[in-house]
Amino acid sequence: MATLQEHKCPCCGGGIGFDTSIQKLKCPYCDTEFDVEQLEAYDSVLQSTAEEDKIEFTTDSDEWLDSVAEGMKLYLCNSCGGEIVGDGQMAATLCPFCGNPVVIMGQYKGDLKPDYVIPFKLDKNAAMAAFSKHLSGKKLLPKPFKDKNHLESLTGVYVPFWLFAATVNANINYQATRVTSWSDSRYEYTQTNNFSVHREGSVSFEKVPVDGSRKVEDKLMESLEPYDYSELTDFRTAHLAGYLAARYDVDSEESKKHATERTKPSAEDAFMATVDGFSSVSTESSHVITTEGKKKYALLPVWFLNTVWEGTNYSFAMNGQTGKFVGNLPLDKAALRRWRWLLFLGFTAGAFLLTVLFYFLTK
Amino acid sequence: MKKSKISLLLIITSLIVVFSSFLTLPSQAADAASSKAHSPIFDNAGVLSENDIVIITDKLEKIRSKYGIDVAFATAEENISTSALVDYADLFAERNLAGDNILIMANFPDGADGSKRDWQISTSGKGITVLTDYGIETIFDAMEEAADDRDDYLGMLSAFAGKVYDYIDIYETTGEPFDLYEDNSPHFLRKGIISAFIGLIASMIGTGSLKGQLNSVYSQRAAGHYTKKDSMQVTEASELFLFSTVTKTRIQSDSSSRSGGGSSTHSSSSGGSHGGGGRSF
Repeated sequence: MATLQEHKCPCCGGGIGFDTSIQKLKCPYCDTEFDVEQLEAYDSVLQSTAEEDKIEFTTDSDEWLDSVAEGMKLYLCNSCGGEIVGDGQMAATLCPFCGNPVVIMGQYKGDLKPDYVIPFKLDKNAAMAAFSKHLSGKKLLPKPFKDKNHLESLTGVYVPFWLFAATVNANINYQATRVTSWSDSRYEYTQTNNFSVHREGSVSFEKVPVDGSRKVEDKLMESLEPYDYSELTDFRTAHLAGYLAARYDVDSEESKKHATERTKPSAEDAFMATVDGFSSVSTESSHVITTEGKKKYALLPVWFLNTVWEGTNYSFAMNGQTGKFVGNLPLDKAALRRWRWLLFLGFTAGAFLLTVLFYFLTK
Repeated sequence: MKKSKISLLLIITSLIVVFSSFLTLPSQAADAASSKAHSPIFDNAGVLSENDIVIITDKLEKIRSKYGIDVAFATAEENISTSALVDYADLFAERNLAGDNILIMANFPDGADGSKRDWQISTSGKGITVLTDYGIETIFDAMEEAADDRDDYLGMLSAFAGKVYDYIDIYETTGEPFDLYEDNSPHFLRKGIISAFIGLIASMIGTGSLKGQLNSVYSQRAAGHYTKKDSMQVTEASELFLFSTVTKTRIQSDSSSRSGGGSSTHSSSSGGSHGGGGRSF
């Protein structure tokens, strides 16, 4: 049975959220700050003493049961009693009625509980600034797109990731050449010695990320890498307060194939780097066996922005930890044609003038 | 009796004068000075086989019969130094060949078994016009390229005959010798087309770069960032030598890059005007 966890301010009772600037929970009403551990201890005391007040996930009507069958669920807000409808993967959100951040506890029990979380370090203002920077200096971006306000849909989300560990055993043969050149008064000589080079060994990888959400585009998430794993902390629901969060709907078995695919070329690159002292090296054959290591489940912070432009959906994302902003932008075809002609005429005229000038200077 | 003695004295004197005039000349001059249909091969050192002589003679005589230029091969006598070879070859050609001639002479300053081979081309008359300095350099280049080794005379002389034939043919066909010509015309149209091509490529690269600014979403091919520190272990490493190849490329000589052209001439010790050039290989 799912329940909503709403972190309340011990001072004034207001809904409390995670503040990225101080990396603590901060009450927006009385400005009191709390450590994550501090608030969790307070919440557990409250729960043990006021068990009867706990509001459980309810599906109290036949109509809503139909919705559940379609993957939707109904939650009741602890603060205002408002009904919150979300899908089966929603794990944290804001109450649309009172604005208080809530965490759906049932989503993170048992096997679904994340091992790690990287808390948001950059807030909405930073994401807005990064988006503006992302649009600036792009000559082929349609000006109306630049001028339009897209920021209303900016949302901070904890995205579920699988972090895979793997050891790659490699057996690789290379063809290599070593070239020596010398000359006499009339000829330049080039001697090419050909070698067969063999390397065998292993290399390990840790925390290779693969996003575990079908709703999120894999390529978009991979473009946000890397995260700084030194800031991974043990998962606590308090970190989620104030942000949206989802639980995984792509399991680790399905995700590990992609992680394995990524480790192979890196292992090959690593072994290639050991073949030095040659003029050229190319891989002749490569046999790689990947042994899966421990996998971990983590929530990583992402700011999302989706907007529609001329019937096409454009998705942008910012790494909520490092600030890396990505997202493909629309193309102004008229501007492209203008630039094509401008560059063509400019370079043609420049090259022609240079060749004529060179002709007259050397004549 | 007295009259016959005087006649005998005159004959002896004449013979002495005639022989003395040949003392400073190459030995074969006396044999063929007056011969019009002489062999084009003067192999004093005996470096050519009989088969070689047949093949080379055929090639050189074809040139003489078709174009009227006397083309010949000769080997120098022993003890001719490299520095004396130019004049020696010029005098040899004056004595043995027709007025329009091209002579190629091989010299062995260390003896026929020595390691050094000097090659000298001497031209006279129409031969000077036909073989420019640049043309002579390319003939030597072709000979070096054709030779399997330094004693591959058949290969070298075949290359020589082929090039000489080609250059005479070019001269007869176009009225201009094969040479390195400097193109002084501005070729504005060509410059314009090349510039437009540069403009097109630059435009494609430039707009490609501008379009690239719009795309920042890419899949990650590898996972190098997640390599565990110090986890790499190379358990086996070997390098096996397979084989070796050597290639050689000719260095462009000054004559290939000069802008002048034409045939330079010099005078032999007898006063005759000659063209030509030499190389050792």
